[in-house]
Amino acid sequence: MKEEVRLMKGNEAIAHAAVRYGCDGYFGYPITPQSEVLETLEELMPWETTGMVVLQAESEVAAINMVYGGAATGKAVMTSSSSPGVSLKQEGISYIAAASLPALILNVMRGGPGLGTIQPSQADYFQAVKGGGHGDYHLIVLAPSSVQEMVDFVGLGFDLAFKYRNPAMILADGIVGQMMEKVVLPEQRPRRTDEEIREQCPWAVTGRKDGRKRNIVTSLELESSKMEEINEMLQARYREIEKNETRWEEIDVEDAEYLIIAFGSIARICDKAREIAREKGIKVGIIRPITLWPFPAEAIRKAAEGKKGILVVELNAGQMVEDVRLAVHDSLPVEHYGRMGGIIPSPDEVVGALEKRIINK
Amino acid sequence: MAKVRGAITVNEERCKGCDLCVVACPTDTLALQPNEVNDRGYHYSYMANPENCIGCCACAMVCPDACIEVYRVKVDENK
Amino acid sequence: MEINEIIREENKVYSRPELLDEVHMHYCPGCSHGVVHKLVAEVVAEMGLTDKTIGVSPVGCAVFAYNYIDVDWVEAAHGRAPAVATAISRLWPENVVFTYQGDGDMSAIGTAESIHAANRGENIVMIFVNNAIYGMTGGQMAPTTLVGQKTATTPYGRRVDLNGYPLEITNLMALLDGTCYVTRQSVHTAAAVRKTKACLRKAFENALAKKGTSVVEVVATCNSGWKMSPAKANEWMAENMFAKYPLGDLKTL
Repeated sequence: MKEEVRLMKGNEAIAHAAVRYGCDGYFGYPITPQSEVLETLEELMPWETTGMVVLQAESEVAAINMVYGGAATGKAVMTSSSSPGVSLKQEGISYIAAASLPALILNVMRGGPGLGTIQPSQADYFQAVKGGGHGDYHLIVLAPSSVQEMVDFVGLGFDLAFKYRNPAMILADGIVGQMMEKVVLPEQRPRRTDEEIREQCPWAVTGRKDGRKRNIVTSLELESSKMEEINEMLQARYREIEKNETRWEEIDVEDAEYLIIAFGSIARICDKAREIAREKGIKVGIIRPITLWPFPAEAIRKAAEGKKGILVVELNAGQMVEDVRLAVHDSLPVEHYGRMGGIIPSPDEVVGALEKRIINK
Repeated sequence: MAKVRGAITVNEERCKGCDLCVVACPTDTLALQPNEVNDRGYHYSYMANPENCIGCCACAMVCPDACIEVYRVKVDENK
Repeated sequence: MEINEIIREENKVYSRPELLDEVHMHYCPGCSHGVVHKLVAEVVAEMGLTDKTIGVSPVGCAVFAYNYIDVDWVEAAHGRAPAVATAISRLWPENVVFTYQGDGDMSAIGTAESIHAANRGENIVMIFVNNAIYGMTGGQMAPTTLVGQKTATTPYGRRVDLNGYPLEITNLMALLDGTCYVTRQSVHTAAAVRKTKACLRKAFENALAKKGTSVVEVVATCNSGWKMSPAKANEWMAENMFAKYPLGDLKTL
């Protein structure tokens, strides 16, 4: 398949992107608002074309453990779910991170807590960037703001996951999952052959051919000193990822007096708010963290120098705002504006919040 | 008439003295060392009555720690 | 005839399986796990499957199985071995994948994964060691604990009104269209060990032939958990466990 321009939902785009990336396996369980990922894959029948395995598991728990098993064999495997389902997956995600396995997890966030609502939300920020499961680990967290980024981050997510042998998560909100946009689908890449996997992933559990020593994928180590070493190895890897892979977007930051910081689809609403504010003479700039972990703290600290205040806009009660405050160390006012329950703020509302909470405070 | 003679070796260090081989032995060949213990403190198994052994492998099969190896020969008594 | 005339390489009729590592296993003296490990090691080597076998070890006493049998292994989260095995088997269909699960793994926390993997007919071998107790955590009740059986969490004996009934999960597995072979065996005598080995071989053959899921339950002892000597535990098992978990094939296709 050649590169192709299509109109589609973010969730559908994920499915197409996975097949075209050369993903080896998808394991998932239906939950709104991301069921189109599995539905689209079943419709595409990639097992007939690329040989990709697609399986509807009996639960989110089973699905993430299938991903753990698949990742342990060096294959490029993924799952997708939405907030309550991602909570169920946390045990498996912790195991995947602990065992140094590459995998891709998509969370199309809906409102919580609990069963919550099927409407969009960004309330799983803490869960995604602060751990989510047990133990000291990090996911590489990518926050798409468009259907195009849903596609692009499948490839980026897998590439980073394999580069660092660490699970990556696409943290999308229900808006990006459900909305339709024009999207450029990449050219079809071939799946890696078993021989290539054996060569590229010498740690993988593939059957110990040619007399090689056996490979064991485990996260268990009862000897304290060795367990500490494993943790130190993971932490060193996280520092490396922070150094190399922090990504963000800046718009009109240089001359701005105020900054709005937002991620995902909400950043696009905030960008419209920036235009409206500038028409009113308020110089606003935008910073959109693309990697939520590693968080662009240094970029925000630098951008905030000489500014009068920061408004952090999120579809939650105030989560990323904590990381922004940590980044700027009380050097300027940082306020939060958030809507919950599936309500999406309008650009005018964001400008109003900026005026009320920062400018006129 | 041919008679079967057997013998076993026990990995004394690996043996945990569980006694299952002693129970499984149909010819009362085996016993646990009454006094001796290995490095881990187990009274390991040994051939207390080696002449009884017929090399049937029952002890080796039930041994959870795969400590026992078995040897067997046919002995022609007419010779 | 002197003993040293008998103990010669040419007279050897039973050796330690090559695939078993030369290490001291962490199991208690007399634990059935060791025997089952030995059989797996023998079957895999004898069938020439060393380079294509992938084991999935559970949480439970057999958590360190990967330290003992010289094939590739993945250590699964508690109960999730069948899900892990599903993916490996589907992504590497030429390999042979087996799970090694205890009664907690198979019939409590992992019931859903076990039943559904079997129901999908995954080409895997599920080895289920049922000793009716949680050994690793100190002898608590398992779903397969017998009525009246004393454990750390049923100190006065399992009561049906409090704890329900022993779960015959293998019987459930036999009902599923995805299973091709379901059998219940033991390893307490040499004859039983021989039989179990033949069953394991058949199960691995089924996986190679892509016939679906094979389940080999081994009714086993946990002498430490049961607070008996290994020999006494075998007797107790034969007297009590086999009544609830009778040995034999439950399904052969």
